[in-house]
Amino acid sequence: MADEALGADAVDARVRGTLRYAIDLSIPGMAHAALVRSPVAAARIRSISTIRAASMPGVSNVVTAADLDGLHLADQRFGTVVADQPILARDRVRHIGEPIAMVVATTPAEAWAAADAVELDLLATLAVEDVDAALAAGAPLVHDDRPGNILGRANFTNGDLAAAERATVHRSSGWYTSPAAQQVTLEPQVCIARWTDTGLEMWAATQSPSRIAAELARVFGLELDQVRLHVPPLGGGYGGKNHAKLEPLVAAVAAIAGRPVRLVNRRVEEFVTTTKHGARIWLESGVDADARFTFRRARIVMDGGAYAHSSPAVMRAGMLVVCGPYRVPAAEVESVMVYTNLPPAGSFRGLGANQAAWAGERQVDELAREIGLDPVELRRRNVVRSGDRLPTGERVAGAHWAACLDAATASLDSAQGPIPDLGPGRRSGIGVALAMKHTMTPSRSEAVVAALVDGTVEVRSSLVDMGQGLPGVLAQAAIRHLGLTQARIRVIEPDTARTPFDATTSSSRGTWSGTTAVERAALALRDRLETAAAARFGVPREAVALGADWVVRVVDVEEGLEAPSLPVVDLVIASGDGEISGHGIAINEAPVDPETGTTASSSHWHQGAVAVRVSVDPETGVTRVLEAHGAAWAGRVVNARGARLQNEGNILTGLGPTLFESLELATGGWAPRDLLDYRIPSILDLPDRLETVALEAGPNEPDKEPTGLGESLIPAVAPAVAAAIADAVGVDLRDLPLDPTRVLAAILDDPTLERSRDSEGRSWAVPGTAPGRNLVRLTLTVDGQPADVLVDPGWSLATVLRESLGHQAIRQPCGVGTCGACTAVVDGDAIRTCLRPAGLTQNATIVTAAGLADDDPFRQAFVNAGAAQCGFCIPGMVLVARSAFEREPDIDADGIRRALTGNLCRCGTYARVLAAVEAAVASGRR
Amino acid sequence: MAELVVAPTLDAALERLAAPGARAVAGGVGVMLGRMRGMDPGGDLVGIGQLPELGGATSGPDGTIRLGGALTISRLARPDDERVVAPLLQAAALATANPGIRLVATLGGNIVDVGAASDVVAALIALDARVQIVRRHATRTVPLIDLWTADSADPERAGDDEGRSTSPLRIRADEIIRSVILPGAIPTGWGWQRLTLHGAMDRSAASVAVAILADGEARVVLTAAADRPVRFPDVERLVRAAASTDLPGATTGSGFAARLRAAAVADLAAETLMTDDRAPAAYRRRVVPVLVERAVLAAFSRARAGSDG
Repeated sequence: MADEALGADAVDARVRGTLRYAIDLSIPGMAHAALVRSPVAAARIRSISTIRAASMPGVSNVVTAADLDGLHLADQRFGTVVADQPILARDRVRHIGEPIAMVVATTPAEAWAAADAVELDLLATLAVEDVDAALAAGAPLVHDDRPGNILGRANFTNGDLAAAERATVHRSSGWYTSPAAQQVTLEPQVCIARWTDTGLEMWAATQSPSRIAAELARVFGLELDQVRLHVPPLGGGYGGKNHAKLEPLVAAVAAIAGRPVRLVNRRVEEFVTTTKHGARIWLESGVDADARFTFRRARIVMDGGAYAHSSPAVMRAGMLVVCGPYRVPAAEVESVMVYTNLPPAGSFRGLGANQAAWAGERQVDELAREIGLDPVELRRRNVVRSGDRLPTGERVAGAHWAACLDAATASLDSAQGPIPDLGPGRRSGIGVALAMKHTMTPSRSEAVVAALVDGTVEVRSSLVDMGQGLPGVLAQAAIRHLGLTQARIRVIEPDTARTPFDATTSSSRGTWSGTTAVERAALALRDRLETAAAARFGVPREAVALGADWVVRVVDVEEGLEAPSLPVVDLVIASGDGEISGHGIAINEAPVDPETGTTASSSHWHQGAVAVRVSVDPETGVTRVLEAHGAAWAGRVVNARGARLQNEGNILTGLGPTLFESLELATGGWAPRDLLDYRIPSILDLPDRLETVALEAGPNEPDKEPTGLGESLIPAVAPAVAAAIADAVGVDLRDLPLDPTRVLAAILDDPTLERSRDSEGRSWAVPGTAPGRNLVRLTLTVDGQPADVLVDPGWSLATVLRESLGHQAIRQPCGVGTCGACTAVVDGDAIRTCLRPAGLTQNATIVTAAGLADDDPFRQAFVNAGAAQCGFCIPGMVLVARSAFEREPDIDADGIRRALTGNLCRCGTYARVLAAVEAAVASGRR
Repeated sequence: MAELVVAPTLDAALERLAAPGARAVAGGVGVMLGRMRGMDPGGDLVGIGQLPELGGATSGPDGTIRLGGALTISRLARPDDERVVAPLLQAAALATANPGIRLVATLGGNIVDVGAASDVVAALIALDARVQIVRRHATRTVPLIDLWTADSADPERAGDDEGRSTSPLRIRADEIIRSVILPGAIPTGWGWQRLTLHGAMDRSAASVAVAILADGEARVVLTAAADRPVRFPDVERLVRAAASTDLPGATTGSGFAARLRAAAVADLAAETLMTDDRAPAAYRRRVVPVLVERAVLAAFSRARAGSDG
């Protein structure tokens, strides 16, 4: 087992900001695009006037749906699951922010300015504002061919419900709601398209290269090998980059423009591009006199928004797990996905299991209270063990929830040290919950492992590196069967012309499927090399063996004789192909139940438990998560550091929608504009104590396959916190998020205290283009190099550094000073360059993370600690931490947290960042 | 076309600001946020952050402290400087935005752009701050709290929907805050309470600052909960009375805490609190008395610790 999630070089590239994400790419002749988006949720399009926009400076094209006709597309609608989304709205719009036209210009600013000038004549129609409105009799139809606004429906019934009812002694029932949320990848949706003689070439930030390539081929009527997709590492995915979003639009517009086109979503556009499903779940459960489940019955209604994206999968995912990992003899579940006139909902880390666990696990605690039984004991009494049947009726082979529950609660119980002073009147409470999530089944991953003439090995996979450490995992899988040093192995970025098919980098499947496919490919390569060498030596295949020194030798040679040997490089050269490769395929098949003949819904289950301790201020409702303990089933840990990052990230990401994230979308007009309106967890949300463990199979146990840890804890976070609040102050909350107004409203039983989710009355608008000012010559010194550039002095320094001077370590995910990714040290101060007018920085001396010295203790500490996942935020973190230490050499952990308050990491790497900074501070003091 | 000019002198800056549409820019935070949100009206920007007349923190012979309008918030938060910057102001400064913003955001900019939603404003008013405001050929010095009087509001400074300048601020577009003046009397006790709905760089849903002077004079100030800073006359009376008695336990018992809270509830009855995307007015009305009680008790606790030591 290796201990590095990413190799040191990969971490260093993230720390210094030199890793190239899709948003950093530029290709020759590239033009920039901007979208004209609908300001209303439902309307007929009467006319679109592009005349003024088309005559604006730098503009080459203003494209509307009518212009697409000339492309003779196979389908003008796209969607990797349901093809229901128009490339550009033609006759009607179905949600705020829906793309209506696209402007192509020389610069992004010109494109945005022209997009502002496109005039829309829309006739607003009645909008379907939520799931109730969608399902109401006579509701307007979001799609004419979808009666009742039903996007999909799935259900199962298992067992004898009538008998179960008769055996029921205690019961609980109610509605549980979780609002929409946004994935908030710091790197937004971005894509570049170019048409060549052979077809379409694209660079995109997507989790699913093969899926997107296939969808583009379908829409444009191309053969699959006519679409080539390059996917650099992602600056965050979390499900948000899992299905087609901008790709078909950009490809179409590039075809019309006749030149490469790049489109980047602005932050405000992210909120109307994809979201997490809001859900309402009715759940009813009963237990018998022994507190054993008699039945569970659920109705799940999810808001899919205007277009399907991954909605059918989310609907099914929720259905499978809402009754939890328990022995429930009778269960009846219906899951309904509806269309509304809200922005499309799609995948979000935890895919449907978050919403389901919020209901399922919340109600376990309510039942425990009703019975007067310890909620942990209630879970232990009912949790499925290997061989038991799940509520769906299928048998589960490898059930490890009990072990997860024991590990998480033991960790909470053994927490050392005094409970911190909570302050007068604060109350503390503990809570625990289980997480259960399926994995995409069946799904296929392929890999190629190739020995090259330069003595290196290339691993080719279309799995995407988004901070989960996959390149390291894949390299280790190759090493396992080839015995090489890591230095000889290179895992290339997905490129559908070179890397083989892979279903998707989601569903926490990459570790298992990637490892398996690469191991099989490595074995195939090894076999080919040994077979070729044996032929050369004229000995049987079994008489040779590949060594770690990349030489094939004849084994069992008589003592004293030198074993004939052949370097692999010689074999490769002799092959005449430039390489010898092995191909591997991994498919996670669903097991078939021999008794019933039915196929299981998931090849294996992501399993976890979370236990938390919170403090609640009963007079304000403010809740703090003091401790979080997570235990996830890993089967086999492929990479200890990566496993820890994933587990910790699960908890940190989960705390956002638990405590405050709520994407208040309304058909009447409002969506968040930026990351001031929509907050995600910061380092201040990091529990004082965060412990996670990845459980492995023992030497004599089955289930040694690595299961993936990307989502094994996140579904349990919200119900665990809610249980702890209930323990602290005696209120059972059923609606997320658990913000202070809601908690206090529950404590005082006064709903007027609760924050309103009604966001009507604020208009939605993409910020207009700022007026220009006379250009000035700006002289700077950046990372020791002089720079002289003509700029609009009202531009931000971040824009000048990144766009004018090409310093890619400066990033602008938020543009409003919230996230810290644009941090640079300007005349000694680590400031937000997005909020500093360039005109005020004349003659400034600037240091970016890329300018850090090789021996910089902070840079080294981050690398040593492996304190990076996707890495998009890390350069800013390093500079801020370094600057804080310089100002305050005796800075402690609290000081570090305060210093990093404004540096956001959606992957949830805060604990490792804190550890890295503490190490750097210690080393700096020495 | 409009331009950005860095003014060489204060007079030059005021001259430029007298032109229609011109705006001052010091740290740039307010201007850039407006720009990002599509609310940049254009016009000349006049750089004032570097002007020496607007810098510095000095104390006069009478103990009066003068803080330059272009002092950064991070300068106010610097922990090594308690003589110049009261700890209450430091606490409020440390709660403002995040470190990277505090390094460039200025005191004057915070008052003008964040206004009644500002943590710093609560602390300054509790410390009885006055502001010296200059424009071309004119200077005026007024109590900071007087900037919020509706009758003389300048519509050009009307706020947006973000809690920034939530009330029309009585300051003209051609004026700049040259300095903030704090009286010499140093509080013997201070308290600070801030409520946010989540952790980082969040605008406050209510901020309460309390300063108690040696003579028992007290100021209790609330920001971020109404369209103007709010004072608590009943609470202040109660504090004065308690401070003037030598009875043991006069400021520690639960009875005193209950009276504080009741007084705060009574004071708030006359105020219109706001409902925004942070919290409804009802929530604020419920929790602000709690914050007031905690802040006052903390102030007395500090006062006692100071007199003991």
